[in-house]
Amino acid sequence: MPEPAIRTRDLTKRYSQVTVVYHLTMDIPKGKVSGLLGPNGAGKSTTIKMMTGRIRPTFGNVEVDGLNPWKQRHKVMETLGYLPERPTHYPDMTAIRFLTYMGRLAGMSRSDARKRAREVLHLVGLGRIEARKIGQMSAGQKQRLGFANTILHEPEILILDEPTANLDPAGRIYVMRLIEQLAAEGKTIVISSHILPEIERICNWVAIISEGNLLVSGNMGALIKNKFDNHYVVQTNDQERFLQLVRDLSYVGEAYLEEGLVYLCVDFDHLFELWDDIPRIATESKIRLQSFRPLRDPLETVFIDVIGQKGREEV
Amino acid sequence: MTTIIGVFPLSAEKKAMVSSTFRAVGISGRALVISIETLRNMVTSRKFMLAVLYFAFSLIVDAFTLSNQLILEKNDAFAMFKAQQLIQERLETYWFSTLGLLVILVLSADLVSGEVERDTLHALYGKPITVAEIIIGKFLGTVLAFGSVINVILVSTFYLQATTFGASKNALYNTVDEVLYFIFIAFLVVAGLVSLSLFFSVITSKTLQSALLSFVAVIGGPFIGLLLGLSPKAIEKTNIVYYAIGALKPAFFNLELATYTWKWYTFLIVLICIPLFFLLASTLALKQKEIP
Repeated sequence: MPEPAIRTRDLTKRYSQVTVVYHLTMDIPKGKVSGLLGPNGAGKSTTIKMMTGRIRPTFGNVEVDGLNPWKQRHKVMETLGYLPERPTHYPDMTAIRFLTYMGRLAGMSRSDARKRAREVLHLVGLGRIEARKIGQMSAGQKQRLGFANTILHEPEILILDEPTANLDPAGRIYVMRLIEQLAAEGKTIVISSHILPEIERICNWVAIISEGNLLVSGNMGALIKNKFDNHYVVQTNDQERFLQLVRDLSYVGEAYLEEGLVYLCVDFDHLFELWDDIPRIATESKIRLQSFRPLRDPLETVFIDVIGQKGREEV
Repeated sequence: MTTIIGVFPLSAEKKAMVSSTFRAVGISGRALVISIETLRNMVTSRKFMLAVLYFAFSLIVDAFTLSNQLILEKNDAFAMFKAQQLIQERLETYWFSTLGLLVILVLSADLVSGEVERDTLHALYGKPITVAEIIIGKFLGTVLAFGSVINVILVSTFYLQATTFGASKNALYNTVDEVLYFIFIAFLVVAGLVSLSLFFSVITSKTLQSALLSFVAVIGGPFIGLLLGLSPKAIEKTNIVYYAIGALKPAFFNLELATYTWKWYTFLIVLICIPLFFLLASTLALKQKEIP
């Protein structure tokens, strides 16, 4: 296995009596887009803060490119860019001045820092408002500015905590495209997000964390392979007649019509039959099948499975 | 710093080692960038304008008093005596009086705690800078801001008094080295106060607490001394201005500083050690501080 970009071994963080991250051991691969998933309070942000040298692990260790972030944070930051969940800036500074200042702290000369600041502002779509004070920007613009600051010094590893939070749909698509561009350049990107379809679309590797424990990790393909949902949504040109027909199928547990869509829930053992029967029923009854898709994405299925399994184990 | 080190005929490895050693103690271009930004933020803030007004008030009063004073004797020796006497008085009773100290301590109380409160320390921590560079940068910018204001007023006061009492051009030229020494000592006092405030700012992370603690630490000395039953002379030694006046002995050649029994350089060493100690303590404290 190639050398991982980030390696954690028994990483544990405890605040007085509460253990937020518990013996987390994982290898985040180099040059890939990795996703950190988990419900609220799972310990994702705490793990990220330990990776970026903000907080000290209570036990265990974390290495970024072979360096300890707590002891050598400034060296780690030469190759690492971090976008916090709520990026904070100096409200009285203009966007261009803030990024020039940050560029100078990254070791650039004044002219290089200003040039690079303009470049990244254009890249995140804030070029036209470079002279606006940060305090007067919207939450979405601040988020984009935070992203610009993260990529300012061209780090090889990017850790993005909820990168699309506060963004409108257009902004979200824009930032996701940027992440794809950076991934195509071979950068190591770690994304923590609640938005599973985004993670599924963009990530090659994923780790699911819950209550500080690593539940599952691995390549996206291997994880979602053979993971099928048993809830389906069907759209035809004659929904009422189609609903009657599918209700006659013995293995269909639940079928109902809601807002013009037919929802089906079937037994897992008969999934393959359903895939054969739906087009057959439509063809035989001369109903035009317009769409037939699972209700949840495969990653969502995996996520609900592992989180649910943990819950059942605890019970 | 990298450019300066690059001039020396050293191997790349040694240059990297020298550069990293300098950065570990906060001597680098990045610290300078932070100090310039701190200075800019400080001088453009409204509260700093209030501080300038406070310090400038003594100059306005002195100028007014002198313009209305009947001068009976005018000569070099007397002019220098009066000028040095006024500087000593202003240092003790105005610029570094309880209120003067309060102004400096309160305004520099948010250097790190303000960043923690506004959550902006994350922005600094996101770039490859050392903790020492942050501390030194913040320290230099603030010392430069306060030191410059106090020194402009100090030098103006000195020359205003000296010229009013008839100091000749030669006498003024001859006292340039003394005036430079005044400036140096005033910077050291400001450095001591700012470093103390910076230290509390790091350990408390709350501006109000940091301001209160540093103020109590500076003016609380005499009270603690009284409670412990120390002699008045010992209590006097808890004040930073005592060391400043003591270190100024060679510049106050016309004045008799009878209570200052140590050699002047002993006072100077104490004045230099105060900021060094608190800067080191601040760096170590910030290094151990988690930024959640």
